[in-house]
Amino acid sequence: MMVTGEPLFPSELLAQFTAANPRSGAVVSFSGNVRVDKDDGLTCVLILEAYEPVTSNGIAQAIDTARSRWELEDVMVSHRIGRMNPGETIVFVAAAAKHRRDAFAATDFLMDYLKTEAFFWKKEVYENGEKWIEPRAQDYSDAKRWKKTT
Amino acid sequence: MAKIEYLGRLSDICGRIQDITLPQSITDVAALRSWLNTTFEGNPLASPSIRVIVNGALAAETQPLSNTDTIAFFPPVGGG
Repeated sequence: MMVTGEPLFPSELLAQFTAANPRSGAVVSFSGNVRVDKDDGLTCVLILEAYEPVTSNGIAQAIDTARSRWELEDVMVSHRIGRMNPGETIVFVAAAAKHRRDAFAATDFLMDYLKTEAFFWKKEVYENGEKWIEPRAQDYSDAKRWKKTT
Repeated sequence: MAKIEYLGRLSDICGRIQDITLPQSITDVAALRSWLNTTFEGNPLASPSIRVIVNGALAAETQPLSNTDTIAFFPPVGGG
């Protein structure tokens, strides 16, 4: 698990992760990128803040939860902070398992955690101003799917 | 002195960090929240969506505070 101010290269991370887990029949990965939004003709830069060590501790706990819920052989979470340009990768998550369902579910679960519960704050900066971004209603309802009812 | 931090959009309104000697009347998170809230315009700390971390752990409104604590106020979180 890593929270870093350096650029993330998802294809390299995936290659490393896959090579490190030759016994896993299933590897699922997700990368989230800064959108290139042409609709309004404005260039947008994204700034992400963390609060360490709280941010990293929270992600480590979410990984523990994923490992206890699904049969996983390995998990990788890399999250960028600082200033990011359109097209750059914000987050990379990967899970390795014997079988694909566990890897899909764990990746999906971890992304919902990162979107709604991880200690990050996000700001979009435009040519003519800036705006803090909070999770959408959809993000919260996605995250609710993982709450245990019993 | 207690160290007070304001995270995310709160840092635009309240500044990033304050070192404050807590008055004797400020004994828990709820009291600190309402006291600090009056020092800023527009009640930035009043909403229950603004939560509090004390010394690295999420804190309830009833959590006792002392002058050695690091206390962070933060708005809704989200990365990805």
